[in-house]
Amino acid sequence: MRRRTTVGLGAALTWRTHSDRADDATRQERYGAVLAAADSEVTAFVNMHYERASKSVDAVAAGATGDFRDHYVRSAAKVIRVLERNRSTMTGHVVWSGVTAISPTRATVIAATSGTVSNTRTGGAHEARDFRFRMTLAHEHGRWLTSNIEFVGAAR
Amino acid sequence: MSRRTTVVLGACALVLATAVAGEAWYLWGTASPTPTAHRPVVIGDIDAQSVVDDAAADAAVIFSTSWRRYDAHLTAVTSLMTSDMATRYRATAEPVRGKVLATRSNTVTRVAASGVVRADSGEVLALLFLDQRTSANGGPPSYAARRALVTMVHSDDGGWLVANVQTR
Repeated sequence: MRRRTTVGLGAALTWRTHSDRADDATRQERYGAVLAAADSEVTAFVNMHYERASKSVDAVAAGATGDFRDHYVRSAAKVIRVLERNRSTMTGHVVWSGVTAISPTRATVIAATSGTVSNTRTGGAHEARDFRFRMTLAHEHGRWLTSNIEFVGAAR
Repeated sequence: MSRRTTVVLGACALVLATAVAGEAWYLWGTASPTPTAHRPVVIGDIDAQSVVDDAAADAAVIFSTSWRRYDAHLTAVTSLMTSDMATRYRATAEPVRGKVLATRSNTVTRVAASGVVRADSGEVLALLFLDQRTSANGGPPSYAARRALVTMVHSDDGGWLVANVQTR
């Protein structure tokens, strides 16, 4: 009798622990999914080539949503003209990214990138550029999409 | 008691004992998860944020220096670090002491943003955006926007210490 009680209590504890661990796994995987989406969007944002301007702009729009996406798509023609006129090329990669805030539907991420910029102003030379970004993401239809992205300048 | 009854009871006892052992293994025998790219943060949100806040506060103190209190500052901030980190910090800070004092330099560091990169119960990596303003010889301050990856480790007394700082 005592042994059956022990097994019963153990089963309840095991079920509860299993449930908690499943919740933890979901929460922990959310961090990975958010950072992967943010890294992908920032990478698209810092990799632009005037000879493939339309493709570069499309890559950013593909990971965006809401007002940010609408504004970006509306400005696309202008962005492409500026890239082509200045013969602009920007390359970069994410050095580090971290989660500032997270919930099941929204997240804020900061990302540091390093790369180069070349355009008519640099005379075609590739100058080093490091950027700091803050972005907000929204979970829509099973994907994390960027709803805003901004440069982080000097704090006041 | 017949032999058959004994066998059945024995089998039941074996099944129950196996169930108890299985439950015990599941509850206490499995290792804590380790961070991966798929699951980079394996501690609670509040715990992770709390350590990131500690990293931000420590970094602001460590990287704010004044020529007036350079030696006292060095002593004070090394208490926020692991002994290895403190040794490395002293090795880099002492050679620039003469220049800081000669130019009467002051550096003020503020944290513009912070986030958790990776975290488990023993180690947390925090990304910090640092704004540094340095003035020398009473002149106007120069500004530098820095990015730092700060490694915090859980100390024996339950607190968190700065174990490494990378800047890029």
